[in-house]
Amino acid sequence: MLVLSRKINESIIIGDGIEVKIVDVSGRNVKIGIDAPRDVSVHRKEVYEAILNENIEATKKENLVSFIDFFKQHKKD
Amino acid sequence: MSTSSVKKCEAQMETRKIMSSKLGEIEFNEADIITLSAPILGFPELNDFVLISNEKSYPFIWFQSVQDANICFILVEPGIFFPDYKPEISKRDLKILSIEEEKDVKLFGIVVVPDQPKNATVNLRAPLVVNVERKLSKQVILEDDKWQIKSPLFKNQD
Repeated sequence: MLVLSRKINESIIIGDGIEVKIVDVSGRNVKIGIDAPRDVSVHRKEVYEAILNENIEATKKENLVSFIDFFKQHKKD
Repeated sequence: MSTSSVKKCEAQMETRKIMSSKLGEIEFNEADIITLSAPILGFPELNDFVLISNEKSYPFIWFQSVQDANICFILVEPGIFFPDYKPEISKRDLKILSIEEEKDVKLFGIVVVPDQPKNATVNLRAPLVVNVERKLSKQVILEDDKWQIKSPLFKNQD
């Protein structure tokens, strides 16, 4: 991994169109500003990973019909 | 219209079949294919899906990959279970999906069914936004964290 030192208000440029700026540092928190083209999505990694895992989990169920049967039963109760 | 363009039209409307490992044989029209503007996280190679609904499975809908017979999601329109679910979709995402009017948009949540069906959840944080007119879709990660990735569908979960 490339590691660079930056001060507040300094930036790095990634590729042609992505700018990552250190907006503020206080204690253990760093505020980062990101300018990116609209086809580049930017997310906190933990949210991104949780959604990725959830998507994979969603395709694992083998028997979809049993879920529908359960739902029908549940509605009647 | 020239003969060649008529032929092209016919080719576009061709029906195709896929042997879904979960749903059996599915016949669909080329025109029904929904193309993802960005892949669903975890499935970078899959772009083309078909929505399959029938009365029996209502309100749940299948989202079957056309490219991989093993990949099929269960979707539900979140509004059916969560009437106040009206998340704001960013202008950026609306643009990517060529959405101009509200009537073109449909939202679906991806359902996860664990071993106990009563513990089923729906992902309200990252809905599939579909432009029904243009047959485009994208899983959108909402900025607003009030919507949970694992929102229970039923009460009395374990």
